[in-house]
Amino acid sequence: MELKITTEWLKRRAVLDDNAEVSAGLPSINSFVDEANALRQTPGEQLILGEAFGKLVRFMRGVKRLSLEELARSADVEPAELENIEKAGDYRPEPRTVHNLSKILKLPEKKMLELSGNMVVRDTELTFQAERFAANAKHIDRLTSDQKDVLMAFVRYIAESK
Amino acid sequence: MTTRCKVAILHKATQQYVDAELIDGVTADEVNAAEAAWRPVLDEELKRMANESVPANRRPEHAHWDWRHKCEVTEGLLVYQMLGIEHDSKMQGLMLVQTAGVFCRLPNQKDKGLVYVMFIATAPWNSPVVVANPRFGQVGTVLIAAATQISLDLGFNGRVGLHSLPQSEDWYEKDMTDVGIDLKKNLRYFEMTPEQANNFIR
Amino acid sequence: MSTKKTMTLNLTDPEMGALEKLSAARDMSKTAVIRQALRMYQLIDSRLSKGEKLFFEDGLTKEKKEVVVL
Repeated sequence: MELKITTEWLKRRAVLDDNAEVSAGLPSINSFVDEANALRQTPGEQLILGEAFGKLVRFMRGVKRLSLEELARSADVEPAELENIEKAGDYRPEPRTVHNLSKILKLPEKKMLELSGNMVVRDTELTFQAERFAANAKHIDRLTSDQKDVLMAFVRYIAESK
Repeated sequence: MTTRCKVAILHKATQQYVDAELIDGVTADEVNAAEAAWRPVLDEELKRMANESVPANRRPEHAHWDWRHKCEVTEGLLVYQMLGIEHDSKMQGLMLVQTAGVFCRLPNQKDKGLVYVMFIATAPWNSPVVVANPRFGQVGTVLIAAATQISLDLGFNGRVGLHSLPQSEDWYEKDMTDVGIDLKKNLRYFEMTPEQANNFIR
Repeated sequence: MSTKKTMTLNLTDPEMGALEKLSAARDMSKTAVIRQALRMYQLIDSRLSKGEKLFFEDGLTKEKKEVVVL
């Protein structure tokens, strides 16, 4: 079927269209990233990374002695969303949220984007480290000193990654 | 397979309509060329905005989109269609739509198929958010009309859905129904009903 | 928007029944339903050929169930 766009139709619309920005899509291409991710990561790997991301945010919030509300305010994120990030392993935050959290928690944005599922990379080392971290971070509020060491090692791994 | 048909876009400086081509089935080479042309302009303007401390909500919200990657993942699959508008051998706008597996959310259209606009953007030199004097206008209008036409062609009676970037919400409100903020994607979701589609392209 | 070619489709009674039911439910012509099916089949086929699996997810429990495709 032909697209019949006449200049008369465009002229009629010109008043409505005047200097409008017509754009749509997902700034973080979330669902599209799901597709692209699926081509390169297994669902299991995605879950591991997502869970590690949430637990990392929770752990670093504790290290910086911030309440959920305080971190949410500093990062310009809704407290409900921050809670989702910390608790739900399959929640994917927007890149803007990840950018803000990275800044406040002083962690490399690139690695945070990978962990949160916003950047598509097949990194088996990251997945391995993330899995170990998440396993040790199951009870963030009552960590043994050994577990704290493992968690801090992961933080160092993230911080020193290129 | 690529098809082309004649359309028009508005040359802003002269307020005259100029001939352009709507491309259905933009190739990887054409997308690469578009990215190569758009990216330097976008990057320069983004640098300027950073220097001038332009607030985030007045910067282009799709600045980091990689059309090459979108094309790579969708090429050859019927369910996706990449469309573009070309004038003066330059891509003036791009749109990627999904044509199956997406259904209406509006209660009175529930579960009816629609064409979902996954991504749509105009070239940076046409964007009023990026440049003070956009070169061409109504590029987005023509692309949305194309999405409506694809919907008619597929038997969806003109139903179209999309998640608007915040800077474009006012425009979509004129011709589509605001379904509300999609909390999962943090964007406002709009749908065009068959009646709205009929009014839009009439 | 490309030109179309016509073909004859032979369907069994149950197949035609299913097609008519889908057509009514989705407010689409039978041809439109077939064209949709072709898009979905091609997408699924392309992913399966890359070694991926197709799952349905329970909306409540989030339990994944594999869809076996021969």
